[in-house]
Amino acid sequence: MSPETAFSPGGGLISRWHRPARRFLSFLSGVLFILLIWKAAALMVGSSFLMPPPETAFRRLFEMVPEPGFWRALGATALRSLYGFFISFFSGVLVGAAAGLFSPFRRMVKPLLSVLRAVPVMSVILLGMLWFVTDLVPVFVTFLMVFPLVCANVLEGVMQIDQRLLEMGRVYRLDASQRLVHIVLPSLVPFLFAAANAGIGMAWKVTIAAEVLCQPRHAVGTGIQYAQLNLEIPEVMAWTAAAVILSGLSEALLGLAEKLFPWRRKP
Amino acid sequence: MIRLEKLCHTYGDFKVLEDLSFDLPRESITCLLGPSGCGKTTLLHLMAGTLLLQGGRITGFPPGGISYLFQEPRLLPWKTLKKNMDLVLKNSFAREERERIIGETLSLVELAAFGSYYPHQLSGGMRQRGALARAFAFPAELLLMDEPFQALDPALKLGLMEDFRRLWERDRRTTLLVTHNIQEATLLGDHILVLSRPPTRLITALENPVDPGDRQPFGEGVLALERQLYLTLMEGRREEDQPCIFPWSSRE
Repeated sequence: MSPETAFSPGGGLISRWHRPARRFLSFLSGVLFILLIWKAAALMVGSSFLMPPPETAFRRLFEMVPEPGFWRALGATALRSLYGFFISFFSGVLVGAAAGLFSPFRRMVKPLLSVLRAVPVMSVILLGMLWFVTDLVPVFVTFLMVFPLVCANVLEGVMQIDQRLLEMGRVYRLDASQRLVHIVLPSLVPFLFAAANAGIGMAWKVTIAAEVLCQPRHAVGTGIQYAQLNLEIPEVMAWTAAAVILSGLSEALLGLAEKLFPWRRKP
Repeated sequence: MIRLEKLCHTYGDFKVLEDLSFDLPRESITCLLGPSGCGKTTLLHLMAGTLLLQGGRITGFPPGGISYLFQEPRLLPWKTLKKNMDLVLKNSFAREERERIIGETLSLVELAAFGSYYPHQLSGGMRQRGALARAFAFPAELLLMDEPFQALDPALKLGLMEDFRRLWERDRRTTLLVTHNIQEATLLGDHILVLSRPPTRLITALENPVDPGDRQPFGEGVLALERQLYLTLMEGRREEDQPCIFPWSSRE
């Protein structure tokens, strides 16, 4: 067998070049499946007003695409989501790592994480509207929702570092900085990716939920809210589809970043 | 000569080592043979400094640290085999020297073509050979081995033992191998120390009468030594009032 070929799970011999195409086809069939369910639901409801079919929603989306307001809203929402996500990611990594390393700090942080996980999103949004200017509310809410997720993942990662590898490092006289760089940080990579994957998805949802309530000037959430008030259900669906596509793109970027760590590829 | 004197160690109320003393002759392989749970790994940790001595003392350590071969390979999954070896050599050698040592040592364990492979791309036996290469590449005069052959099938085990012997003959490091496997002790050990159950003491110390070059599995001298060691271990059990239910476990 040449290095360019590999056995497919089905038993046939396929070229490695076909693998990305096969993956894309699987992805495409997943998307088609969702659209089919949407279409079936629209047919069952039987009212294009209450439940517009996918083609209506996408037609509306294509109409919105040339409008500058659409891109401004999309860009502003993306910026808020990413601000919220990155602030919560970096602070979550720092606090989670410190909590994992120092048990008194861990005992202090755990109740805080429990409280943050239990606080209803709506309460945080309403309080945020009282405390912050409109544009900052979604960032604040995203931070409070994503931070405990990242923090808990990193904490778990630090607790699960393989002590046997650290022992190997000590026996072979690696100094503390070498053990940190070559053993501790790479051990955390799977947990960081798990946290980032869960966090980025949540960041989009929470940011848009906050925008719906606090209505910044340019925002996907504001667009959804106005469309709903005007009973423009296809437009609600179109904004939603745009948000889903953005979220999907960010997940795909994270997937590309994971490829920088070749040992995480399946054998 | 490394001298271990009156080592004592307890875990809570459980006394593992009690006044254990023995010597490790330089440039030879000393094999500690004892039942599971007799504190063999504890003893290695005490020597490696990863456990603090509670009683007794160890003297005569050669300079240059310790090489350690663990029960599992303990290769970093995020580094290729070469980089795993490179990491432990970084503090001791310049880059060109490291590359030379890594190349030579990997060739001796027949892994020269696999230096750029990640551990998950290697078989269990290859990973353990990689760990063996790392232990021998590390510039330490003392090598501690904690049952490194136990998780391998018999054919792989013999292959790895041959690789070990080949590497050992190259620079004849003072080696302490702990095992509960009599065959490993007879094939590799120049000096064999038999330990009791906890609280662990030395039952007997033997010189391997078979020349290293003549030690073959099922060879006459090796089998005779295996029988002698087996009976010594059984004798130890009888002294502790452990019932021996198999007829062949009795001297009579």
